[in-house]
Amino acid sequence: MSLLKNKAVKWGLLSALVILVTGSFVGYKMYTKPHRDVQHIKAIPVAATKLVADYEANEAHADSTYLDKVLEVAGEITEITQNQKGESVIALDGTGIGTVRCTMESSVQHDIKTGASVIIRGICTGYLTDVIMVRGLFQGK
Amino acid sequence: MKKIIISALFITSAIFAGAQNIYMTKTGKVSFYSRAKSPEKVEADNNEVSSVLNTQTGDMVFAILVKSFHFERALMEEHFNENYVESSKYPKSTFKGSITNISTVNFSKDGTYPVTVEGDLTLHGVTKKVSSKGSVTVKAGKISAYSKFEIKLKDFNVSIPSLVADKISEEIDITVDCKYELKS
Repeated sequence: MSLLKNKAVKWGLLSALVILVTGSFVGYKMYTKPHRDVQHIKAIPVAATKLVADYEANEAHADSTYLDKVLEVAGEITEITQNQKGESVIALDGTGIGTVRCTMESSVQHDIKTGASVIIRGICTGYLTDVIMVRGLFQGK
Repeated sequence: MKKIIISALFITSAIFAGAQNIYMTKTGKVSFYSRAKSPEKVEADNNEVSSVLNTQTGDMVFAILVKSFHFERALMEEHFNENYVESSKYPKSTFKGSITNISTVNFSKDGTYPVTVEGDLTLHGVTKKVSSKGSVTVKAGKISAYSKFEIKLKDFNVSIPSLVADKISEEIDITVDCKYELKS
């Protein structure tokens, strides 16, 4: 009898342990999951001119298409600046009024000049007077 | 509608005041920090803040894309966007107000001047009057503005599930740090 009880207790403890370990592992994995892999996620290809025009025409509609998505934006560089964190911010020609402004990943090193045509991958965070993207990477580099 | 007003404000303030008084930035920094008891820091920063400062009238406008806030932990960023500020529904946060003691700032003399800013802060679809102390620094023709103030989440209808109530404090410290350039 005591043997049986012992066995039941043992199995009980063992299963509890397995559940605990699995649970913690899954929890830990979720908690420490990495940010989206901008480089490899399927991106929406769009020309900078079209992206800005779409936002200027109807922001809500453009948000439903582009907001929080990884975009692959092609365009001509009109300005290269730095933000206060020292990250490169690249503006791509839009409609003449608005541009696409993309904050590049801090790991991105480049010697690209204004006027160059580039394709930038990044996450669209919305529209102020320009379309804003973050976590930018040059495509094919 | 709000967006139209804000864009209009950006443009009209630029036209009427004459370019000499209009300073702006598109790379301002706003960060926040939750003074929670948890060992994990709940903090994020946004380096894509647009702001316009009229040095003559003291008028100040800030426009922030909520999804530009970056957290170290992806899961925290996800929860922030989906559960707390609902950034898909409310993608923007704005502040429209003014420096009430702008006349005490001498923009032609280098120095750091204490200021008080008052105005309307819109977050999570709720607009509230806020007031905060800060400073304006003038250095070699460059102007920067700094302020740190506190907001209460419940003022903006942001609710925290009781499960994590001990990890996220009801009061959030907001830090604003913008370096302006003369609008060309």
